[in-house]
Amino acid sequence: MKPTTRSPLLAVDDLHVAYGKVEALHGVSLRIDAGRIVSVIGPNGAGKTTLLSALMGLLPARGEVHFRGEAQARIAVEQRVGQGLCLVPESRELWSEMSVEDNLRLGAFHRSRARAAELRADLDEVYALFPRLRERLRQAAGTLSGGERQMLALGRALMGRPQLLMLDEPSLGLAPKIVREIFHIIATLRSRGVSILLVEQNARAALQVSDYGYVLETGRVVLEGDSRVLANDPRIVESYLGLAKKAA
Amino acid sequence: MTTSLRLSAALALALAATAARADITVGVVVSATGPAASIGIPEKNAIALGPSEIAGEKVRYIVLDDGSDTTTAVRNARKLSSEHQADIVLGSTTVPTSMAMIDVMAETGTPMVTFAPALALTSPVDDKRRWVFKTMTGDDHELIPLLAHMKATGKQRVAYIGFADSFGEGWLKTAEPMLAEQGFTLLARERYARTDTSVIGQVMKIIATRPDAVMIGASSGPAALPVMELRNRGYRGDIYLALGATFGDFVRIAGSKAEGVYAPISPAAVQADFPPTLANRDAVLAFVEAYEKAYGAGSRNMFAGSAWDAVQLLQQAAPKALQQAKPGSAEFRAALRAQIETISGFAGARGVYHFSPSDHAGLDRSALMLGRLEGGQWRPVQ
Amino acid sequence: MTFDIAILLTQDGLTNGALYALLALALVLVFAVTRVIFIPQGDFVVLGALTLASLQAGHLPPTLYLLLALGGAVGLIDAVACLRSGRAHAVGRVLLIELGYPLALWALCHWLLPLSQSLWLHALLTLAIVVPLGPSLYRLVFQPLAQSSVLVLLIAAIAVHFALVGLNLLGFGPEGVRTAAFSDAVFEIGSMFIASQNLWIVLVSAVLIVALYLFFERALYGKALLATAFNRTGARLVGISPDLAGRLSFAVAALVGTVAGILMGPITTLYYDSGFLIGLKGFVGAIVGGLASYPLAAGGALLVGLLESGSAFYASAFKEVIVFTLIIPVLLWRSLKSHDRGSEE
Ligand SMILES: Nc1ncnc2c1ncn2[C@@H]1O[C@H](COP(=O)(O)OP(=O)(O)OP(=O)(O)O)[C@@H](O)[C@H]1O
Ligand SMILES: [Mg+2]
Repeated sequence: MKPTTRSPLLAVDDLHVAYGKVEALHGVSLRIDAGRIVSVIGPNGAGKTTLLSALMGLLPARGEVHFRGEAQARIAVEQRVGQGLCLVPESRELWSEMSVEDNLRLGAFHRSRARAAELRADLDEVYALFPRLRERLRQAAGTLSGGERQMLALGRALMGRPQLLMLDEPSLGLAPKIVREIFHIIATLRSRGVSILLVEQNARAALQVSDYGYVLETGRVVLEGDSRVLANDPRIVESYLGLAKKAA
Repeated sequence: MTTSLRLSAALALALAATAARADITVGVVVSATGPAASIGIPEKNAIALGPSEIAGEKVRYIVLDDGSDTTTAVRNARKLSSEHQADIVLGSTTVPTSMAMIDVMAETGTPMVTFAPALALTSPVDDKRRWVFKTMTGDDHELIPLLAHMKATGKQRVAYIGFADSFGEGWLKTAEPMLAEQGFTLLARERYARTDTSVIGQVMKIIATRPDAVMIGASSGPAALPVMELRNRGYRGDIYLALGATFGDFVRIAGSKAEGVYAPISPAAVQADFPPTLANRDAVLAFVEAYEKAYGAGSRNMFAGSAWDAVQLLQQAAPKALQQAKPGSAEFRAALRAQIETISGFAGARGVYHFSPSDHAGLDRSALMLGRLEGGQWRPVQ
Repeated sequence: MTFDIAILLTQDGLTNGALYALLALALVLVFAVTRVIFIPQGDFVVLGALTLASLQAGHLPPTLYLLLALGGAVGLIDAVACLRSGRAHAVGRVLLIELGYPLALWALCHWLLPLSQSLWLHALLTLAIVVPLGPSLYRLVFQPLAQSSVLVLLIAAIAVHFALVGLNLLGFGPEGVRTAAFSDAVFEIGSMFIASQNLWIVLVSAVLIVALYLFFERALYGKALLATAFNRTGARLVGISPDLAGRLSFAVAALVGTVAGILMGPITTLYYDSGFLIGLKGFVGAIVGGLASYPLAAGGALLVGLLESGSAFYASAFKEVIVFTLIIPVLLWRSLKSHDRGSEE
């Protein structure tokens, strides 16, 4: 993919993140154009989750992050949410004590000024996407199965109508059938104009669904390129896709 | 070398100046701020009326506020004796602050006259307490007129309710042997906390014992709670309160519910025509006249009376002490202490004082009289 | 004990228990949202009662000055924060809200006090004066410490408690107050008498508890508070600011405390320092609920009220001892139970 002249939705430049004295990201740069799906793949401990947390503002970071052309350095998590940035974290962070519907409604918290009918419509849309959630709307989120929780986390994120959705391993621990379902939904989302930053262990699926990919290893971007090109890169095939084939 | 020489010269000069001036220095510690301020302020007012000269010597008053805090009281006591060479210290207002000051007084050999009530401040008269005198009545003074009235009106079965703290327990501990001795039966001993919001349980229990009289070991506003509850629950017998109920917020809070209750009162605090038989009638009138001239009609109160009496005692003792030593010296302070100890039969605003080497509490048994609340005013019962 | 006495004690216990329940709920909420053990909860009861009393006496309550001072401090801090984050345009608005509100309220009191003796007006003014102190305290003291340990927050809460007691003494003096009753009526049901003030207390407490329930169950902001309490990170990720949640929870706590003070004022005498013990009894209730369960906390608080009135009858000398040692079996029971909850969080 050639760099476009338009300013990208998200531009990250030389990002450093440290836990105490130990640096986990050593100058990561990436960009996401509007309407695209960009995937980040890499082995365990590469720093993928760290990258997303830093982009969301959950971790302090050094370097430049511009979202819709605006510097994010001094902007708090909640304000980033208001600007259209949304993260579905690896740990999901649902409210297990609250009902499915409450979880979803709170997803639209920053849009509380929106009309009730509009929120209702969004809710119905999420239920249409995940019919299983509608069947369980009064159930406490803590009692959902792993796959259902994943759906709830995704649904909650969608209720916020994000411009950029960051997904941290949405297929983690799911049965292949559900993984396919989830990736299908990701593809659907793009068609609705949502840009997505996708972090995945399942490199094959990720590269299949995304437009562009980055490979992160020990805190550095070691490879990037068009997803189709990456999928055929021998280094990727050897270290990621081979494994992924067996896993899938 | 030269600096230290100059310094010592200056010090010597300063000392000489203090010695030469030879004023009587009266240190005063009161709780003019903090929770006890309502008591400390009248005391301070009374001190301000003290004489500026005794037996031809000028009197210098140094008044410090301890903010109702024991640490500050101790600091003030130290400051008064080391910085100001106080010949005598008057105060402090509360039992804890006064108690805290005793060590400093004994250590520096300075007589102290406290305005606080506890008997433990002056008794037993040991090595430390020989320096301490007091001008405030104690629990025993309070119980004497109450029990006399209960006896005279034929009561036998009494119930008690009081604070669950040192105030209430001290009062009860003094009352129990006195009640037993005079043949009363104590039916119930109930406690409550000053901060309690309800005493229904205690009051129901008291009423169930059908007492002839209820005694309440409580003070100020919180004393109103059991009185109101007793009346609300239909108790019609007589109620006897501690002296502490005659000041502070009791009357304001209890309102009409408290009409007719009894409590000990000090002649120095009530508006009444005292009978000529009252031993300290003239002293009370003198105090009231001076105090109300300065602070307005109706401003009389027993705390000011105690502080006033402390100055009176100094006025009694100082002339003889002056013949033995110069103010500002340890000898003068010792002489002052010895002279106060010999005061006996002196009538003050709070009562007649009988000090002796074994009794530094001073006030005799009739210092308080019986009062009854009528129309929101405490009136003496003849 | 006769039946009459039992009824009376129960009535007394339930009245106090209802008030403790209010405080217990506020304590649980504040702890869940901010991890602050809110020692000054009882001080808000006293602030409410003393402020109401001083309004009823026709004075401008000293709490107005406190409100002004805290408002000024918050305004200053927020204004600096605005300038730092490059939002200079917001400075004026911040100062207007933080200083304008107390000043407007001051003017309103000045104007209304000589005009009306209405109890309701005084109660409303009391709420308007005291409740905003809660969020201001959060902004000044607890928000900067939001990342600290529970212990540090507890120490800060204790410091705030002592500061409030000192300021109460300074502003209101050491005298106790009793406010005018809502009504002096006494109802007779069968052989028992019920003071209408007691009914008021139980009724208003119940209404407030239901209102709180609806707030958490129905209102978005109520749910946002719960969400912050259950999972802070989750809440941030949907745009709920922990600072906002903190201020909101302190506002609820201040509201509950002030209402309790207004209700309690006529049945008891409150002093500048009465708050601690009252709050502590609410705290015992909250402990019964493990500082987490609202119904258990309310039930525990009712139990405290009943235990208190019962022990006042049977063993008044040990009343406080009995009430506060209730904590020990409860903690034992909780620690036994907590084995199967160990994996949570
Ligand atoms: N809270 C933390 N404190 C200290 N080190 C941490 C912390 N969180 C992560 N790390 C370290 O930072 C590095 C990157 O971790 P990160 O979670 O970002 O990896 P990841 O790429 O998401 O891995 P995975 O695929 O297993 O989720 C790892 O070495 C990890 O041990
Ligand atoms: Mg990860």
